[in-house]
Amino acid sequence: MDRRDFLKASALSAAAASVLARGASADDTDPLDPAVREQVGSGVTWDKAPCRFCGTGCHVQVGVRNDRVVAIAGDRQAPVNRGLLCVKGYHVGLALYGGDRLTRPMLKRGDTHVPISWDEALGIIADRIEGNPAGFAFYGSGQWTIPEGYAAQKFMKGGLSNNHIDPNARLCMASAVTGFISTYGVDEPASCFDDLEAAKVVLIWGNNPAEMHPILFSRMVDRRGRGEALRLIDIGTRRTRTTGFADDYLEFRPQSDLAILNGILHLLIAEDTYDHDFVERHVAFRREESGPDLMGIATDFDTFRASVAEYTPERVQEISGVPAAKIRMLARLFADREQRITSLWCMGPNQHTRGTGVNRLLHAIHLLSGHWGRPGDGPQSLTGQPSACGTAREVGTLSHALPGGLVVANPAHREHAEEIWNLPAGRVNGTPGAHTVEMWRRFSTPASDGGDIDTIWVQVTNPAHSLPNVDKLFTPSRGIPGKFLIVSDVYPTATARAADLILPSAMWVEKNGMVGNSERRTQQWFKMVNPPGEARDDAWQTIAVARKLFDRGHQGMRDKDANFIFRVNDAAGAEVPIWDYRHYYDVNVDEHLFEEYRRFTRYKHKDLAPYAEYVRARGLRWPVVEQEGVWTETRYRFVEGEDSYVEAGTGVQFYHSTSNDGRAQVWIQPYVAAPEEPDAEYPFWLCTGRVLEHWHTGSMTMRVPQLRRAMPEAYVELNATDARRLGVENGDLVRLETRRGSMDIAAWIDGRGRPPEGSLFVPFFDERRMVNQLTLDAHCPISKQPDYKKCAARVVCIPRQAGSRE
Amino acid sequence: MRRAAPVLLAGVAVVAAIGFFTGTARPAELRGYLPVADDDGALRTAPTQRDMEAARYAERRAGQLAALEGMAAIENADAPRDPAAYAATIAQRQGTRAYDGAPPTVPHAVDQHGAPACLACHAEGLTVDGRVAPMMSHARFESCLQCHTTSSSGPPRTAGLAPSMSEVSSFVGLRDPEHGTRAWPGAPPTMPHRSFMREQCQSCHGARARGLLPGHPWRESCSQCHAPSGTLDQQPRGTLAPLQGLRVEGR
Repeated sequence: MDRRDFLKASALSAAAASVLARGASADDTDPLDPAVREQVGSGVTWDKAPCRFCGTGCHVQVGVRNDRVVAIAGDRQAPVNRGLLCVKGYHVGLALYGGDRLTRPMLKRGDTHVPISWDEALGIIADRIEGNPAGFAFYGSGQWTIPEGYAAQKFMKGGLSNNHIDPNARLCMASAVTGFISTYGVDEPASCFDDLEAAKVVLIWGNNPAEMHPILFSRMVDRRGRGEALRLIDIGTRRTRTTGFADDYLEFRPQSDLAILNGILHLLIAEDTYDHDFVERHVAFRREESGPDLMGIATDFDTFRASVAEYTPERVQEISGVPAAKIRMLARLFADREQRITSLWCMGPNQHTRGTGVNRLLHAIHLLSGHWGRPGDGPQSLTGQPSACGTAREVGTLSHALPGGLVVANPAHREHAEEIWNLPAGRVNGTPGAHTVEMWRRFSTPASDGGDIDTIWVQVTNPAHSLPNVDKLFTPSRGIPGKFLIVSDVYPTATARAADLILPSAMWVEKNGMVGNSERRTQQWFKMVNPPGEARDDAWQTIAVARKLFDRGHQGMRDKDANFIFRVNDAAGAEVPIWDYRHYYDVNVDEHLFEEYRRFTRYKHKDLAPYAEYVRARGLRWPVVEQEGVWTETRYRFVEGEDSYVEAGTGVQFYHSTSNDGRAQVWIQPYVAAPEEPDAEYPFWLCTGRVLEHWHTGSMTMRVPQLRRAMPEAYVELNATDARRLGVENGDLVRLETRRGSMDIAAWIDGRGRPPEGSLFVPFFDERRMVNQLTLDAHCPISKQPDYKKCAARVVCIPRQAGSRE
Repeated sequence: MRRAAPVLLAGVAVVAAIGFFTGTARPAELRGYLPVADDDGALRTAPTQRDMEAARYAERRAGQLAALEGMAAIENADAPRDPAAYAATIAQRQGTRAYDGAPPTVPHAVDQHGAPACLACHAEGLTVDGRVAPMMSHARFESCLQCHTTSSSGPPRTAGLAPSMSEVSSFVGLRDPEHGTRAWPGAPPTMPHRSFMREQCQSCHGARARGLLPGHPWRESCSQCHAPSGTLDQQPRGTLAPLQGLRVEGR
């Protein structure tokens, strides 16, 4: 069988599989509608898929003709976006068609990459694993689909007894996780996006949803067009597009969010406006024992009160720069029981060296004031990747976790995993593996100096571009003999270009998939077009390597009954050779992996419904519980009448409470200074982030002409006063320097955002302007999430040359 | 209080008197602009604030109009559909859309920062100096730049900065549908595109539109005759059983 036969065969089997899998829903055209006849006559078929980009979880309708995506429409039946999209979503289909898609496995020989066969590639990976099993690590992503992440998770922890698996989501929401776990005993937001319509006041903490979560933002501000009142309060470190819509703008000195939050807590107590009833029934107080730790020890209200006493409005003003009157304004909003207050946050509080602390305090202001658990009234943490929640957090592709909110350190949890996976006792390793920063530090350190990780397999992410302080964590590895980097990707990203072995991947609707958004909504789609060339599904790649090891006699790839750990049977009970890509779509592998994974989800009441339910729905929010034969989703967790696990008569019940009494924890979390603050040598704060048009490292969106033309190049935002003082004009090239690196970049004054004096902002999408050569790898000691939002920098003018600007 | 009032009145009168005499005492020539000596020693009249504003505005206006080259309005709304104008309109539409149904890109500069003032021109539609600002085709949303991007303003571009990746896209978008279907010759054609987000037919087919003008521009209620597509509009499929036909006994 040559390549063409093979492609034809796989196309046929894929088409057959998708038709079979769709069953009753295949009939989505109306034969009586002449307009449809026209469209169908020209060969366009439409099907649903969640958008490929952020964590909002919008659904799109994908128009396909002749095995290619030709159009996109907002999905009107999707509760998240109701037919509307943002500019990235409208152009998501174009992300498949960049001119430099990777289509063949390639091995680095000298300075070039030479094409090799898939079989050779799988053999090389198996060799690396067998050569040094403990030195192998898997670096994944919040863009892994749920089945992809689950396959990698089972391969590593169930197959290789190796916990060196971590996702890039460590860099974006680890602090949210530790915030939820230490407050409620279990991860993920209890509230949901319905709050955006019900809230009277929305507080936006260090976040710019007008650009980062545009659909959620439009759900809020479009209420004004309907005549509804909504008060938007932007609490940030620079003016953004969001500020343009805000009623109040509170500008704080970076890191002092800790002080503002403590200031609110102080006033609620000092003015005796906290919710006595809610606190009495649902709140316990907690503090860290000696240093930063996840679970801490119990404390009492008086100790708590004493701990926040110093944060008077005047003291908070001194630390944060926010006027004392505005701190009082915030506290009095929380004092008003009639208000419905939603707090939104994303990277600002998460990418923070006290990320866990800020997250705890955000929950604390809502818990202490009783603004918790009513529609429109509660804390809502947002995520930036399509499945940061679904895969990284729920499947638990983190170095310490197991699926369904379980952890490797707990023997009962390991036993539960071994039982579901049908593995011999003791297969799962009880010692957490290396988290992201640690994994890459060890990979970029010679073995002789303790750098014991020598092979990393990267899927669906671009660490050479997105890790903080890349010249410390990534670049050195490329010069150390014996370090081997494997990258599965769709485009030659900075990471792929630096890889020893490149594997071409299928993306988005070129494969089946499932993801989970930031309101606990699990979503599903089917493969609609074939991937180009020899590009293949990431989950297949993992399973094929597992099979290669199995065939070589690796005991870890066998379960208790000596069966392959990814064994899939057909309807007749015969094993389907899914490791052979020609047969991968003979069955729906996603469905098999998901149904197995689903068994993990009941342990922590994160129940998922059967696969078929997600085929019908535009996502369902877990826990999805069967009630009288109907799979019912949950809008508000821990709330009686909404969450079926809450006992009648309790109103609110935190049934995973770490104090074992149904209470949530309000933490003592004092303000501490940032590890690197501006000084005489480096007088500016440097903040990094995203822009509306580009998603993450731009490897997809920079290849979409409409998006690239609108935002072709990264820039540094400079305050006009600073610019005048430095003699910098709009468009001048300046040199940014930190203690870690330097970079030349064009200045944009009064541009998209406006930082205050003494502050800079650089978006990170442009691989020609790698701002992560400048950022700090200091991280939250509990969540291990680095702080990309603040470090000290200086601006050096580059003498202007004739023609240096367009 | 009773005693304070006359004191206050007296004070006001004194201030008013001083103001009056100061005002009339000012020499009249100070009201105009003083001549300024330039480098060559000749005296010139400085431009007025109004002149300066007008000059700046004319420059900006010329730039904006040049950016809107493709948006020329039709000369005569009553003329029959011109095939050349139709082709030009379709080409112009495709230039600003990745595929039929994509939100058009904005062909002029916008304020990058604040809430945009798009509605000032696009709420009702506008013709300025022969260029059309089309009426919004959809209901009012607040965050316009969420969907509509522009390449006419944005960050500064660094001269000579080479692309680091392929800028070629092999995406081929769905083209604008040319016409709907007719049940019989002379029947009103159905809408060949979705009507969701295109509720305002006038946006593309109205008197300010070019090339896509209907043969009967005086008609106001389009959907009275032109049927939309339930499927293209993603109307949910019901679960109702099909209607039973008439049963006639003895057949």
